[in-house]
Amino acid sequence: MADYTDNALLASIKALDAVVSPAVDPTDPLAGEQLRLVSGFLKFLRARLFHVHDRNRFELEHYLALGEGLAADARLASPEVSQRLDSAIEEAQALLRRPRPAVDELRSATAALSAPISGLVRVVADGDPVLRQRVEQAVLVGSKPWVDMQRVWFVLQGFELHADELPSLDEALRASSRSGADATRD
Amino acid sequence: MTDDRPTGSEGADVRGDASALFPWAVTEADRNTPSPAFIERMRARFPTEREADHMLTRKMQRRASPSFSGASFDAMNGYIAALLRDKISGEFRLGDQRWFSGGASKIQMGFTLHWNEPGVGPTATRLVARMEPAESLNSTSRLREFELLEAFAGVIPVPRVYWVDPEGTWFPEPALVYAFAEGTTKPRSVQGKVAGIGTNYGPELRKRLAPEFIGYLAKIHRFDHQTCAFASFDRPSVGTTQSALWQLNRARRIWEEDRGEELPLMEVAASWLERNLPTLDQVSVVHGDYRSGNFLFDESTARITAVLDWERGYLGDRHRDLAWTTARQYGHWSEDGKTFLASGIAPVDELLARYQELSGLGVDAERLRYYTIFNCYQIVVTALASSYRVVRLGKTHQDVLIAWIEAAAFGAMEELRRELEGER
Repeated sequence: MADYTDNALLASIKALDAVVSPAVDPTDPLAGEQLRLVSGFLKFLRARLFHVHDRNRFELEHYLALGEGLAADARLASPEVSQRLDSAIEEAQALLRRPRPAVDELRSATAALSAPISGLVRVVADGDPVLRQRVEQAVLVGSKPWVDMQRVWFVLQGFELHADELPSLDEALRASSRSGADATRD
Repeated sequence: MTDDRPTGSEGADVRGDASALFPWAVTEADRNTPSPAFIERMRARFPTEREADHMLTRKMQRRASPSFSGASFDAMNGYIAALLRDKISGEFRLGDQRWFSGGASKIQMGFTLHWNEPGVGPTATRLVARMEPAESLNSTSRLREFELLEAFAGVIPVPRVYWVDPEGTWFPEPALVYAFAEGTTKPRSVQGKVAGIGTNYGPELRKRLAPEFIGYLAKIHRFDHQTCAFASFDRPSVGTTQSALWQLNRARRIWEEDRGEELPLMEVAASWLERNLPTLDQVSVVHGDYRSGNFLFDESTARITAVLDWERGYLGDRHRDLAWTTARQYGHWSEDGKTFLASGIAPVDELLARYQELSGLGVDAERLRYYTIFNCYQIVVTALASSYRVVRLGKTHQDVLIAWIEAAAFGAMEELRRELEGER
């Protein structure tokens, strides 16, 4: 079918760049700067719109892998953290078994997982150094695919110093955090 | 200022309450409409410098106020006129008002003041009014900026500062009025970058700018802070970790007050930073944001005409500045594609070597690394947490620019991750 949403974005960008931009008062640099940024965001949205669901699913899978890798350490560290983490893992697993969970469900389940993982890092900070080091290492190694994906996602905005070293968006979204998290436990 | 500010040891009771540590102890409602109890909890948990505490407390006390779209010329004229009526005697007139862009946080309006200047007589003075939006990307102090600009007049090129409104008495928000400085932040032939980040001066110009750029940083760090009252500053104790802890607590408090999501990596970083606080060897004035985009120069002579943006300044460890100036986020690769140019000015090793020659101050690799990691943490706090909250609540006149800056967080996050992973 024809893509009317993409067409509308294309037309909006054209309107801002070709019609609105020349009409903006050249002595108002703030207005000119903000117009360029709005046009830039629409171009960014065009390039990313159809990957939004995949991105949200990736984030949930990332935190699920990280959470599963840390569940045993959470039991050693804190009953409250462990209980929250186990419950969030169950919720995420159930959600991912469904054929097409909604974006807001994915986000909610991701937040439910990331909170006890952050809580675990806080709890172990002042405790057993061996446990702390294991938990921190799992987070550091396990976060790599997540950070890479974010860098690729936002690369169009021009802040990335190592853009040539990054994978494609499709590759970044396919990368599993599970391998990184598991590696720390071998 | 209040008298009941926390000092460096008052966080212990709160930290002892394990449930207060958990991320779920802070809700979106706490962040969007903070109660006095929540604000006090953050103050007690993250004790920092008095002025930083004052500005952060003010931010949270005003957070539930309505969104903000900017100020009109007429409104700004009114605020400036109100200030001038109290600050100068005689008739005056304002003209040539215009907005400035380029910064990522403050409202800046240029204007000409026609007045009878004491000791000069009738004159027209080109000025800049610099005012906070309802909530800024950085909750920094106009009073500190005023004190630093006064202190460095005649030491290095800075705009002459005229008046400050530290609490928003005449303006609706804290503001500063200083002289317009001639110059540009980038070569005419180069497309402007957001907030000047990553400006490429080109091979010739960078060589000519380097001596002054490095020399002025050396002068800032050699400046005798004891000669100034610096009433809005706290002076950390040499031989202790107090200075680093104040800065870490300030950043952690902002992370706690502003963020929109949990990031376990940031918790790992905060924990590492707290365990590895460096000891201060000498108190220096720290500029806080010394990089490309934050100085003006004359393109024909390649002379620096003004060092700007002193709002993040404090008294502490010079390595914080050195790590900031040489940060990956503020430089770019040279034409050979292999050499990284710190702030677009010089390779890092060259810059640090020249700085040591000019300042006579040592550069300690361990402390430099600590502050490199700290700065990455700070950049993520600002670019991800504060940006998110400020845009979400519509607090500035340029929310769209603030939203754009969010993307800058992830390069810093990878550097943070890699640095911390590398040491294990």
